[in-house]
Amino acid sequence: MADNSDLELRQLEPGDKVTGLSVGDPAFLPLKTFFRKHAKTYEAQSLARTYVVCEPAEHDKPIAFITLVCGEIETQGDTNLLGDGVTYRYHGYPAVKLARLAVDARRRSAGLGRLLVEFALGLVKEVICPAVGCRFMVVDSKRESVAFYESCGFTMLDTGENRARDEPVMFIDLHKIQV
Amino acid sequence: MSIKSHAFGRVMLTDEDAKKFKNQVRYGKPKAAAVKSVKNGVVLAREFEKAGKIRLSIKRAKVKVG
Repeated sequence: MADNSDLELRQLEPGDKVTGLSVGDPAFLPLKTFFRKHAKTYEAQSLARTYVVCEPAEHDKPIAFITLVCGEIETQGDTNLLGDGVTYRYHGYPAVKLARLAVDARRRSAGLGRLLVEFALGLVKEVICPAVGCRFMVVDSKRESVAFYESCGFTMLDTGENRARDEPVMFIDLHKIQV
Repeated sequence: MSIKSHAFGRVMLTDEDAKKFKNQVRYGKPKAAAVKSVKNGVVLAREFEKAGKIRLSIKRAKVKVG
């Protein structure tokens, strides 16, 4: 990829070509499969929202995507997260889940993954949190991507069991971030 | 298993994982990287809200909206 490219970030559209994404590492094949088989259906059925990055020359051929869904972090036991003085009688805390993120292998190292994560965080903070209430952004990170998500500001749930998972849970508490 | 999570499902935490999560949320401070990411993202989101899309230039991972 050239150092300087004009790109467009937008929502996935019905006419987009979803078959040409190359993910490289076999560990990321499920991302390619999701994009090819399910992304448009989920979009059409409002089950998820997928945002894509395209180059103008191939405006209908995404080179990166991110998929977001409504989620929840449920905690069992005496686990009021909010501290003394805050009454909240429920075990579920609203979250947006970063469900899928992939960048074409030929376009890596250009910052597209970070761009999409930042966009998602901004969208949640700016649009979703004020409109419906949402406390966390959460992701089940692939092991290969843990360092990337940490560099984006995600925090690892710091337990041995979580660190041993194939896809450890990471989160950002958006309530504590003022912009 | 005290963690159950799926890409398109909720995260369920019990036992030590729930306690640790509570402590991290109660006493944790936002990471500088998180603040930076959210601030950058809000700029992008505002642009997106205006036009339904964002045109941008990427120059070695530096993003310029416009």
